[in-house]
Amino acid sequence: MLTQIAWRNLWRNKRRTVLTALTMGLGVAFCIWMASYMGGFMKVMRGATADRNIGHIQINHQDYPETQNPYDVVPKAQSIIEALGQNTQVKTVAPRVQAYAMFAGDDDKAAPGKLIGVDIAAEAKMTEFDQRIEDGTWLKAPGQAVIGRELADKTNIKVGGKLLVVGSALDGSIANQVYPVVGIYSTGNVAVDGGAVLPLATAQELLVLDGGVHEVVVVTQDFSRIEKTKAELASQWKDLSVRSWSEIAPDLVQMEGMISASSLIMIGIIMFLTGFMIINTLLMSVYERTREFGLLISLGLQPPQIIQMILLESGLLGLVSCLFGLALGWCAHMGMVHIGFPLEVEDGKGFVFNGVTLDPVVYGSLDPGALVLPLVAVMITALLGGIWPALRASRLDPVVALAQE
Amino acid sequence: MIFRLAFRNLIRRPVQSFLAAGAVGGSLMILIATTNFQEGAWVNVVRDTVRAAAGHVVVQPLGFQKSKDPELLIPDSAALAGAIASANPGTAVIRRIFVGGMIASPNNSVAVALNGVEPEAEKAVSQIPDKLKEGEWLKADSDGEVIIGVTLAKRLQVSIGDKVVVTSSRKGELQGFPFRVAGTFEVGSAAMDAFFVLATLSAVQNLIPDVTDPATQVAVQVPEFEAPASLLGSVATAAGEGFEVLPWEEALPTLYNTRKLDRVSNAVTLGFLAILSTIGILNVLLMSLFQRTREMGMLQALGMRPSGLTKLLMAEGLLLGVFGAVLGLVLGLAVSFPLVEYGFDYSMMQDATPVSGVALDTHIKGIYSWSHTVVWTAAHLCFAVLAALWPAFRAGRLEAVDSLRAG
Repeated sequence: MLTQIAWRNLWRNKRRTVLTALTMGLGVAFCIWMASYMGGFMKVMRGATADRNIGHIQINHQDYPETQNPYDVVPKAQSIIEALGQNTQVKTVAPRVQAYAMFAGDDDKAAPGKLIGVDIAAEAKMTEFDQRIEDGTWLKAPGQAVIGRELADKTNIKVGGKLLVVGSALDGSIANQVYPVVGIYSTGNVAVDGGAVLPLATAQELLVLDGGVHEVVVVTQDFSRIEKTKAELASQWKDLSVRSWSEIAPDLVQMEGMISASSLIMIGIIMFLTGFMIINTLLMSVYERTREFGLLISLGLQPPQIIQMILLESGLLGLVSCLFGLALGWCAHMGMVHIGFPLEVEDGKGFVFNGVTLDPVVYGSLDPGALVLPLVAVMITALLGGIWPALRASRLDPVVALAQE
Repeated sequence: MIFRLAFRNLIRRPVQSFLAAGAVGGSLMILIATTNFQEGAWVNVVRDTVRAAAGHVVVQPLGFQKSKDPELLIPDSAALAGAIASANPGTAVIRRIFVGGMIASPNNSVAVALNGVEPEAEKAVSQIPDKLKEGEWLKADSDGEVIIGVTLAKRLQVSIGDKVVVTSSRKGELQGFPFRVAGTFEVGSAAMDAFFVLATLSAVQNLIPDVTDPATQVAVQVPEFEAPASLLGSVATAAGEGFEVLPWEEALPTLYNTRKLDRVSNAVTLGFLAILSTIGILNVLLMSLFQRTREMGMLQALGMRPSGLTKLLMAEGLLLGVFGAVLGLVLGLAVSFPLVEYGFDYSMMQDATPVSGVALDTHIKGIYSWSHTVVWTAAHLCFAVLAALWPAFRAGRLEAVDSLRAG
């Protein structure tokens, strides 16, 4: 009954209600748009670092994360990979070899960079590395090489050309080999794109690793359970280093923290501003209806019921604003998904941020969880904004109120 | 007369007027404080990065900016630097050379960026001499020494005094040169602490025996924050043909683009806040108009013309805008004061982010950006007047007879 009265009261002044709901809804829509934009930005960052490079969990020799010492290979890697293959939480697993080397082509131009040795099939399955090939093909057989776009530009090596790799082998000798280049890839990760990828056995042979690998990379079934799975694996192999992607790339986690902090601040600011409006709207509607409240009170409506009615009005106004904001925000999000937001670039090349080459356009990506906060904030603001007008109305003296024109 | 009437109308409903002006003031306060803080951050970032990573104007080999090809070099760089310095008194001219290579210890070898610098001149502009963890900064005669980041030192498992070998390539030939680690630095950026190596200009020049006195970059810096517009042309004239002469905006595109992106996204956000507060004013004025329909009819019956009512409503909007703007200006400056005086340290939240190869300071101080403050304040005044347009227009079309009948 009271709800019905509150709803009707709300629509007695359509223009005012619509304007107020429009403002608050715009606030919600803006928060949704921002979440979509930031989500898209983080998706690119996470894609280039975690999904396409780090994986979810990495297992290394105890000392390797600190020193990256090439001698610190994962002991009994083969049995670990087999055990992980049996684990139901693990989706894919792949071993890698890592080193730095000088790369050169026929052109007398050399560049230093990262050398990665991968299990051809497992890597393609895990990080979809084969999808990152822009020219030529993915590795097919031992003895081949694929190189990153940046390295290709620096050394003028083309698909079908030769790649000279010079590095230091573990037996103290100079590793020095030439491989045919079958493909050129671009992952967006600046360090990886400035280097080359060899088949695992080829890299092991070059560096005289004797079958050793530096990291065992795991992608789990469930992204949200990564920390749990990591803890389980860590207790299984106590004498190894087991790290989740958030430990390997702490800057990514920090960035997400910064982004959620700034959206919190933004929501706070918008709610602060719209709070003024909702108080204003309700106060005015209370002033306007002074006589009416006097009547209601003299007819026996108790102050708590008056408070309840006005809070219901503000709550309903908040609800209308939420629906409005959701609809507008959805449109904004769809715009972000299909059209995207341009990031300033030059020469059509993406701009480099924290070691990641961004695409010239960022497309939206929305985590449904991001909707909760602005919606809850609007409801809280609406209810808080209703308190003062509600108290004012409940304290009216019916005689004085009725005497008003 | 109109203004007095408008003013009385506003103070007749103090709470409503205050809330409407408060929305304007709140929005303006947030805009002023945010802009002052962000512009302050950018001033610091740009100043530090322009000095440490380039100069206000840089002279480079033709095509270097695009290809970053370390084989492109400026020969006889001291003569060129001298010519530029004498043509531009009051500027500091410093030379740098950038080489890619591998650095190796008995334990490990890592790909690094090797930068050859003039120790004394670089000390004045670089952040690294202040962020040494161990050891000492390079001296003019320390040709056999390198300064490396702490992460790199860990990976090579070397400490001060240990030997490392730097391998670089020149015309397809690989050459190794022994160096001694003279110092380690920690600037807080993972990329720099792991991949940045500094040596003296002359030591790196020794790796390139086929060019006399080579350099990759001759950087011209002025003591002020912004260089005069004439500097670019005057440096280009002094340098002569065969080089690319670039302002910092082109020499450090990442820095320039990041600032641009940041400014665009701020403008979007702040503009949105301004729109919100405008709708707030519109709402208040509309409501006050419809509440006072009867009163308007009375004014008309007493002889006020419709245009007079329009003016009255516009005056109310303007006054609300002025109150709000003054409120916002005072509050905005009050909030800016501690940000400018003491700054804000976000090192708790985030590592130093490297931009264009310089790790940014995590302690940020704002500045008073008066041009932005004036623009924002004027914009809020305009918005208030704009918001009054619709109600004012409606007031001008009221029929006195209907209005008087309205409750």
